[in-house]
Amino acid sequence: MIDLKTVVKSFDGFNALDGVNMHVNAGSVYGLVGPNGAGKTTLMNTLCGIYKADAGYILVDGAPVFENNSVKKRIVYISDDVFYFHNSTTEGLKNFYKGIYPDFDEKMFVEYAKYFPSINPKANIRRLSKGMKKQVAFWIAICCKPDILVLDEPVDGLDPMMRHQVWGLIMNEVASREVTVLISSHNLRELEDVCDSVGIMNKGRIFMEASLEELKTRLIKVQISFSEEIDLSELNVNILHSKQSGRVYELIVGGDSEEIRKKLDEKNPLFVEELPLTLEEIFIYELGEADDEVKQMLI
Amino acid sequence: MKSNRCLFNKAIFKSDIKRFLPFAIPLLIVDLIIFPIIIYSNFNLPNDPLLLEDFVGISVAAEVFCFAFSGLFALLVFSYLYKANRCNAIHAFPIGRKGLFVSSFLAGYVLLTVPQLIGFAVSIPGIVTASKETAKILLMQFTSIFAESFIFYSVGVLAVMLAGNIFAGAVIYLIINFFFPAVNAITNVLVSSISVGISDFESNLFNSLAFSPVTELVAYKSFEAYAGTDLEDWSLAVGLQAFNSYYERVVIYLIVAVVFIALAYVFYKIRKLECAGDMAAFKIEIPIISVIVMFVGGSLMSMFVNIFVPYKALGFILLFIAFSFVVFIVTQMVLRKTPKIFTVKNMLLWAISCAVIICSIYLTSLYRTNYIPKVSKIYSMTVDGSYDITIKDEKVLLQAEKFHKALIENEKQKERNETSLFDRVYDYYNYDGYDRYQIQIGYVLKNGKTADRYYSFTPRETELVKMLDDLETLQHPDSVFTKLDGVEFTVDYVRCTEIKDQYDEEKYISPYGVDPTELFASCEKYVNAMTETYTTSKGISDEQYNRTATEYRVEFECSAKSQEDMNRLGNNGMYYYDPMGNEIGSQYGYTLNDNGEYEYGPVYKFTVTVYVKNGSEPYKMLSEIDNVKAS
Repeated sequence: MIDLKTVVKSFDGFNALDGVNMHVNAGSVYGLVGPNGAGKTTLMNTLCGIYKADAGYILVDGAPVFENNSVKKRIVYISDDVFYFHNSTTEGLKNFYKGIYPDFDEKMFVEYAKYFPSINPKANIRRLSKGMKKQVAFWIAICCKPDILVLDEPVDGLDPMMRHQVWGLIMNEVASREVTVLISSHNLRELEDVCDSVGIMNKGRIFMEASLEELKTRLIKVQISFSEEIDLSELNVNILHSKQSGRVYELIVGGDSEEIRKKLDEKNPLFVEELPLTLEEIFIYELGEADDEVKQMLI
Repeated sequence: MKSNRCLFNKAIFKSDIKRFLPFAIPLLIVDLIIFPIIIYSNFNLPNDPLLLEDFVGISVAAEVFCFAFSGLFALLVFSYLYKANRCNAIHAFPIGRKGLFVSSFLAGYVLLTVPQLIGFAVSIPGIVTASKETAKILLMQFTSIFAESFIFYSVGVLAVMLAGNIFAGAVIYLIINFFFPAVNAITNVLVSSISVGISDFESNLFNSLAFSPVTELVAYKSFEAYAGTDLEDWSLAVGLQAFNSYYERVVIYLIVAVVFIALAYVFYKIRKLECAGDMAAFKIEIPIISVIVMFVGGSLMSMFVNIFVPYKALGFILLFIAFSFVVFIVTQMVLRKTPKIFTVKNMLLWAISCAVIICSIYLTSLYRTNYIPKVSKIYSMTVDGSYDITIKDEKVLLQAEKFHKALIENEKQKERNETSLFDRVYDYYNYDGYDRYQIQIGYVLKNGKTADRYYSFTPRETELVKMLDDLETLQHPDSVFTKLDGVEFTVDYVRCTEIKDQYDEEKYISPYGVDPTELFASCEKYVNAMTETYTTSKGISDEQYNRTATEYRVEFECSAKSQEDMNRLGNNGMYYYDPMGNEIGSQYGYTLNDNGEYEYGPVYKFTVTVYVKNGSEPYKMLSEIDNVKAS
């Protein structure tokens, strides 16, 4: 659905996007992860047709986005710094969006009011807290009924309950209308629960992109114990990380899980147990030694 | 919004109107005050020339407000471009830049013109009940406001597109409107101060106003429109005629405005949105703005400090090099938002610009110093020495040319002794009129161009004094002024001029060749006709001024004159175009009292002083004395 090919965007000679390639499937929730300054927001701004890419192309269902209203009306963008007019109310902002997005659903706006009980539609948005402003943005964005929802640090500032509620609403949209969601965050724990694909970005490039399912088959975490101490290199598997506690080893091993299991069994362990891998761990070991800086930021 | 070609978005338009409506209220209040005053003024214009000043003043005030609010609304409706999150959010909407531009542009223009339309609507009863000519002039007055709104607004929108933040937008708006007159003024002062002979600051400044919409239109709407007319006979017909000439200019500016809007749209389209918050929207602006600021700031600072520094030209050049560098790097730092501006490219830009500016000023001043037009190209030459003479005769022109050369040489000699750059400029504008001759040499060339130079010398520089005497005698063999050392009037009628056409010589209503006795008698007669009390004193010799002359002086006082008398006085000089902007009203400080009389407050002294060269013969009477008379 969304395709970015060698997209370059530079500011004063600095390449904020340095040949980005990215693919987002329709109806998927794509998490864009990276440290501050990695180029996530620039990528989102370019994807939404705000910035014009200096090179490369951005296509949504094969059509370019920049200055293309028929594509842009399918996209709603919620930036980290929520947009509203000075002195505007939720009601006023809703009316404004209604005039901008042809598919805006006013009934839905009324119906969804129950999910945002703390928001008074007639109150000045300027006077609301950051979290409440975000709620307003979500409320209105969902009512625009977009095909693509682009969210920059979406739940930053929301309390846990509201986070849960907002994610629920988004997932509901994904399930019911097959909305494609692109989320940027530097919080992996948050993305783990909602994303089905992730891209890791640093220094203007996406250097790893995969579905969570795929990632999880590429790494396994095992707890293994032998009758006597062994040299781990004898196991003949790609150990990315090891931790020893007596004769019990905790290993993170790269490769096909079946094959790894087979190789480990050959060494007659006392017991072998496969443990669940968190997204954080996957990234740490997928990235290897190279990107310590990214790891530091993500974990 | 519904297609890529959609030009207008109702939601954006409505939102802009709603959000910025409060800013239109002050404009509405101003318009509701100004328009009725214009109507009132127009009703009374044919009967009361004094209200002409009010009429012109109010028209200009309306224009100044229009200028200010045009810039304000342009900044407001496009202010989203200056705040990153707002700019990004709005450009993420499914509205093309064309649609955004048109919608916001229209919203701003509607906010600007609706208050004026309301003011106009309130004025309709006045227009309907007015005479045909008054109604016509009122309609022209109102339509001019709409045209001007469009012109100023287009400049405002162009400025907004060139800027990255609201402050820069306002500055660029002012720069576009006042850039040429300001740079011209500074250049002229600099060139004048370095060159020999102060050049005509006023006329040079006036020539550059065409590049400044607001100043040019204000000029045409106010004094310029009336300067070419004989205000004695001012009538609505004359006013309409003046408006026609004003409208010719407005049409040109409207065409330019359309070009500006097209340019603004192009800039909007190619503008990188990430510049939100920066000073300049386009990088190319940074060196241009840096050089302009460097020139203006560096010149002004150097001029000021040069007052305290010896060595006129050299001192200025050294100061300019230092200050221009400081201003340049500060400007660069502000524009680029970084202290890291000491690049080879920037240093080269500063060095080349600085060298070009210094060379241009120096070469221009050198050219001006030695500029004397060829006699064959001169239509007329004015030498304002003891009095003003206009020369057309070739024989006299040749003599005047020699005199001009002598003045230049004299100035060059003096230059070596002067200690600061602005001595002569300061002297000229602070001239006390007693201890030296202040000579103006003016040329009107056959191609219509004009050139003016100012020089000064003291009565002790006898060779120049003699040359001037000879020239004046050659031009007016019978003139009393060849025998007088000078005549000074504080009454304004002596400065009243009758301009036959644009370049014809000015005919001063001052008495050529008049016997002082007769002059005094005439003055007394004139004064007697209009004042209740006056005093005279004659034969006063004042050593204070170290003059080798006998001074005769007549003084009179007047106050509380009737409107009829004042109108008559006005016909002989009350309403003249004074390029320095000193209106006669403010000079005299007259007020209208309860009896409908204009009062000088409380007593004003008029003085006529005649300096007679000692040992000169009695003077012949000439009939021009009649011109002095009021009737």
